[in-house]
Amino acid sequence: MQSIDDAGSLIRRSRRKSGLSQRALARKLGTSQSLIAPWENGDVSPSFDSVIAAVRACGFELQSHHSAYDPGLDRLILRNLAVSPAERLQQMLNGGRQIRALQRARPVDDQ
Amino acid sequence: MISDDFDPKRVLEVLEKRAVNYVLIGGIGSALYGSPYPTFDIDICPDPAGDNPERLAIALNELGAQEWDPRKEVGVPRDWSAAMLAGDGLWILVTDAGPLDLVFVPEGTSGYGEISLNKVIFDLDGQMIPVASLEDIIRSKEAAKHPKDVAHLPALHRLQELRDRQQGWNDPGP
Repeated sequence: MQSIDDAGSLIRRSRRKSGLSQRALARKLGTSQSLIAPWENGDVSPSFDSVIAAVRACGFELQSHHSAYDPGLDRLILRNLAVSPAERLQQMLNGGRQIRALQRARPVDDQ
Repeated sequence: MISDDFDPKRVLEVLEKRAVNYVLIGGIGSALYGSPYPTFDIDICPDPAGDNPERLAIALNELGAQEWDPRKEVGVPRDWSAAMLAGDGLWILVTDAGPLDLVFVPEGTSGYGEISLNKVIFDLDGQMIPVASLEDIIRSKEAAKHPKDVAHLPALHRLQELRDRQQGWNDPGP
């Protein structure tokens, strides 16, 4: 699920997924490449209707549903993005070890 | 199976040492991109072409790989050979360094030939790791519809979104 504040990346991903160039997408939309590039770069915010049209021109349908925003998830992801891939893997392994340690814990009555 | 000996780096080292062509997919691949979810196995998509199955067989023998029998919940020793690994199957293995899945044709893809086109090379402490594009990882999880994968998809989409915003941060990929 993409949020509309990332409309440019949504358009870029849709375009890349469909194998279209910016020029080809512009042609399908009846506009020029000079409009597509600023959308994708985040320099210009496309209207919601434009996003729907661009995604559709790439051969996809934009579906939406409401879900609760989870700032905790963003916190975890941003923490990972702030470190190197090697550190991400190490953090994941450390987290896995901690989870396994917790999984070994049993209620006192079960022992 | 959850192994206390889970050591994905060792598996990747042996694959590199034996010059195996593969692309890392699944949870470890996602973790390298920044997924917040832990995983307890390694999923790779090997190249079934040429003499790669032979190199893969050598790597598996070096890792002490056994085929996982889900009914008996034990590993079954195998003497790995190229002939066993030249198909398009799915092998669920346990190794000395933890669980390893060989997924020759990940769901939603046509296999190594397609996935390797968009792979991203990660530098893992000097070790070059070929990883499927985050988009391909997501696509495969969407197609597989495994409950665990489905549960992780919103986070992977969010990860893709945040990575797009911060393009270039600490990553070698496009």
